[in-house]
Amino acid sequence: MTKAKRWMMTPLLVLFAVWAVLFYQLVFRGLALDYSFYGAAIIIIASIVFMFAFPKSDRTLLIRFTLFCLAVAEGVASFAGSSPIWRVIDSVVLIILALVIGRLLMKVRVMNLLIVSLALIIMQLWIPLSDMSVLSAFSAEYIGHLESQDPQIPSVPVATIASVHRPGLQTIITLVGHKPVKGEAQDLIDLLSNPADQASVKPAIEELQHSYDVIAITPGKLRYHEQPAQLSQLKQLPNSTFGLIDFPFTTAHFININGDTRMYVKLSQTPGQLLSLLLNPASLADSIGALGLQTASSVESNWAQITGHKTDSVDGLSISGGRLVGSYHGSPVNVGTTGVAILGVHQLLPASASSSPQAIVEGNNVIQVITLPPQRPRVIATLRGSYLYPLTTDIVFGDLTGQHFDEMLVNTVPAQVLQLTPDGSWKQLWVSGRPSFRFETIFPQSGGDLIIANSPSYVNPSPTRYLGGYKYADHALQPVFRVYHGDLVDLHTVYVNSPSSPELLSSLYSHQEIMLLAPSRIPWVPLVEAIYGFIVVIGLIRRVQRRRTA
Amino acid sequence: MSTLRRLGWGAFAVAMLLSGCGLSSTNVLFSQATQSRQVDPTGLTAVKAALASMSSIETYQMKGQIQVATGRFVRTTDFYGTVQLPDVINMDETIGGTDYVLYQNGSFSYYRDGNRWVPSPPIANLKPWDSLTRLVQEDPPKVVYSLPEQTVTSWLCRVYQFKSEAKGADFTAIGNKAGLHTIAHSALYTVWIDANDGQLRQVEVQSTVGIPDLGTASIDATQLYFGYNQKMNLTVPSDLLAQVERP
Repeated sequence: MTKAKRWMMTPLLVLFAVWAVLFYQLVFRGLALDYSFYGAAIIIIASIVFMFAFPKSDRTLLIRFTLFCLAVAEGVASFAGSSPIWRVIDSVVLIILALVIGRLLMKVRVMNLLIVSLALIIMQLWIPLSDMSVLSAFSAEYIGHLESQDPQIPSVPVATIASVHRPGLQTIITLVGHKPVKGEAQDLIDLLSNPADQASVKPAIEELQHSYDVIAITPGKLRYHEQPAQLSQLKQLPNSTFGLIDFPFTTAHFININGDTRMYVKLSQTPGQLLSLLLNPASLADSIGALGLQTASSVESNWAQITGHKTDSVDGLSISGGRLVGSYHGSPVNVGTTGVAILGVHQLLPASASSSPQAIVEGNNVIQVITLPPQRPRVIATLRGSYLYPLTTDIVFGDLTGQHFDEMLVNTVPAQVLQLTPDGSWKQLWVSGRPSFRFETIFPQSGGDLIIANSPSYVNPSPTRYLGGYKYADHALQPVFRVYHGDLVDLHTVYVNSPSSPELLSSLYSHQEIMLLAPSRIPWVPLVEAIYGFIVVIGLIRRVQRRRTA
Repeated sequence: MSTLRRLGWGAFAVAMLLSGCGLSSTNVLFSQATQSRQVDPTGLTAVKAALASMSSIETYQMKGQIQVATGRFVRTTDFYGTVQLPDVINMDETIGGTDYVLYQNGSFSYYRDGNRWVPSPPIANLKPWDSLTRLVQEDPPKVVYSLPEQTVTSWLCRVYQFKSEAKGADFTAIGNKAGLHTIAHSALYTVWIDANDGQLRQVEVQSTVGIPDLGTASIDATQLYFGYNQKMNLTVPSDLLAQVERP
C-alpha cells in the first residue's frame, strides 16, 4: 500500500466506525425494538447481505472490524456513569485492551485502531451512546444531569419561563443536586446567630447533603449557562412545578440562602402511617385523598413563602371558592364550577360556533368547558371520568385537523382524542388500542399539528414506549418519525433558541438527566441506510472484480 | 401463545409494515372491562363469607402498593412483609425510591431510615379484613359484580367488584375545613377470593380526588395476602437491637 493510500485509509476507517455505530443504534435497534421477531429477521437478512456482498477475502476483516467498532463504543458507554477520573482511567485501559485484541484479530495498523477508538470516544462526547437514538429526528442541544446520589427524584422536573433579556424566547428552570463547598457549613452555622435567618438556615444545614439548587439555563454563544434561578423568575411558575416529586408521599420544601433557592423533600407520612392507611381499605381512598390535599396545601404554602407566588392563574383567570374568577381581555369572569384546576384557555369550537376561546377546568374526575367574554361565561360541556377510567390533568391541546380549533388529547388509559361539538357533546376522533400509549405534546404545524407521543412497539406486546411523531388523518395516527429512546418523560414544547422553531424539553426517567432536543437538520436514518446500500454495492463490485481477476 | 394468535400478530405486523404503521382507532380497551362484568346477586354473600373465613388467620404476608397518578406522573409506594397478629410487623417499604423497614412488636415500634432506626407510633389494627367487614356491614353496596375468574400469582380466584362509601374520619376534617368537597367519599373495590379455600387473596381500592391547582389525582391501592398461618421468625432486627443497647 502506498503512503498516500495508507493515509486515505485512516479517515475511511473512522467514517466506517462512526457509520457502523450510528447504523446499529438508529436502524438495527429500532427494528428489534419495534418489530420484535420480524425486526430480528430483517436484521439477520440485512447482516447476511452486508457480509456476503463482499468477497471471502474481505469478509473476515469486515466482520471483525465492524464488531470491534461496536464493542469499543459499548465499552466507552459503560463508563458513562463513573466520575470523570474513573472514566479517563477506564477508557485508557479499554483502549489498550482493544488495541491488543484488535491487532491480534485484524490486519489493521495499531495507529489506525487507536485513531478509530479515539474517534468513538469523541463521538460519545458529542452525544452519549445511550442518547444516540434521538438523532433519528432530533439533535441534542443540551444534556444536563442532576448529579445527586439521592434516589428521591425519579425524573428531574423541568419547566420554562419567558426570558426577560431575550424577547420571545424561554429560559429553562430545573434542579441540580447541591454540592456543598468547603466552609459552607461553618458559614451557615454563623448565620444561625441572626434570629431572622434561623428558619431557613436550620433546614439548609440539616439538608446540606440532600438538597437541590433551583437553576435557570440559557443558551450562550458557545455553551449553555447554568445560574441560580432568581426569585422573580420562580414567581412565574405554578407551585406544582417542583411539588410533584413523589406526590403525595413526599412534600417539597424550599429555602432561600443569600438569594439562591434550594429545595429538599421530606416524607409526608412516616412508613408506619402509610402502612396503617393501607391496612384500612375501607378508609384508604379518603385517607390518601386527604393526604393529597394536605401535601398540595403544604407545597403551595412552602412555594408561596419563598417566591411570593400566590395563586396559579391562566390568562388572568383563577379558581377560588368553587368559582372561575378574574378578567378575560378586560371583561370580568365570575362563574360557578366544580373545577379545582385550570387546564388552559383554548379555542375548542369552530369560529362559526364560538367567537372566543373557552376555559377548560378540571375537578374531581370531571372536566368542564366554560365560555369566556364577549360571550356570557357559562359551562357548555362536561366530561366525566369513572374509577375504571379516571380522568387526568395529563391533557394536551392541539389543532390536529388543521381547522383552526383544538382537539383534546386525553391521557386516560387508553388515551383518546376528543373533539367538542357545538351542542356540547364530545366526538371521539381516536382511541388507542394499547393501554401504555400516551400523548406528550404537540409541535404547531399548518394543516394539523404534529403529535409527539410515547408509543409502545407496533408488534411486541410489551408496554415499553418509545417516542414518536404522528399526524392525525382519517381516524388514524400516521407516523412521521420514531425515536427509540424509552425514557423520555415530561416533554414540553419550548422556544429556547428560536421564537419560531419549537424544541422539545424532556426529562429522562430514572436517569436524573434532562435533554433539550431540536428537530434535526440532518436526516440521519436515511443517510446511514443509504451508506449501508452504498457499502453493499461496493462489496458486490469487489466481488465481481475478484471473479474477473481470478 | 396460540398458533392462531401468533399468526394474528404476524398478520398485524405485516399490515403495519405495509401501511406505514398508522395507528388506527379502536375502542376495544374501553369495552373490555365493562363487557366482562356481570351483576351477581350472591356476590355480597360470597364477599362476606370470605371476610368471615379470615378470623382463623394468625400470621400472614402481604405485598401491597399505593399508586397515585397526578398530572403527568404516577407515583407508588410499595410494601412487602409479614404480620403476626395481633401486633407484630416486619415490613419493607419503598417510598420515593428510598427503602425503609418498619418493625413493631406491641408498643415497641421503629422504622429504619438509612442506617438509623427512628421511633414510630405503633399501628393498632392489623387486620385489613376487619376494616372491609365494617364497610360491607355498615353500608352494604347496592350492586356487586362478578368478573371472570383470574389467577393471582398461582391462586385461582373468583373476582367481585362493588362501589362503596369510604369512611374516612380524617378526610371530613380536612375537606370540610378547606371547603373543597373534592373527595368523592366513595371508592371502587375489587376483591379476589381463592376459588379453592374461599379465603381473601387480594383487594384493590380505586378512587379519585380533586386537588386544587392539580386537578384529578387517581388513587389505586392493591394488597395481596399470602403465607397464611405459616411459622414466622419475627425477631427484633440485630441492628435495631444494637442501636437500642448502645450505651
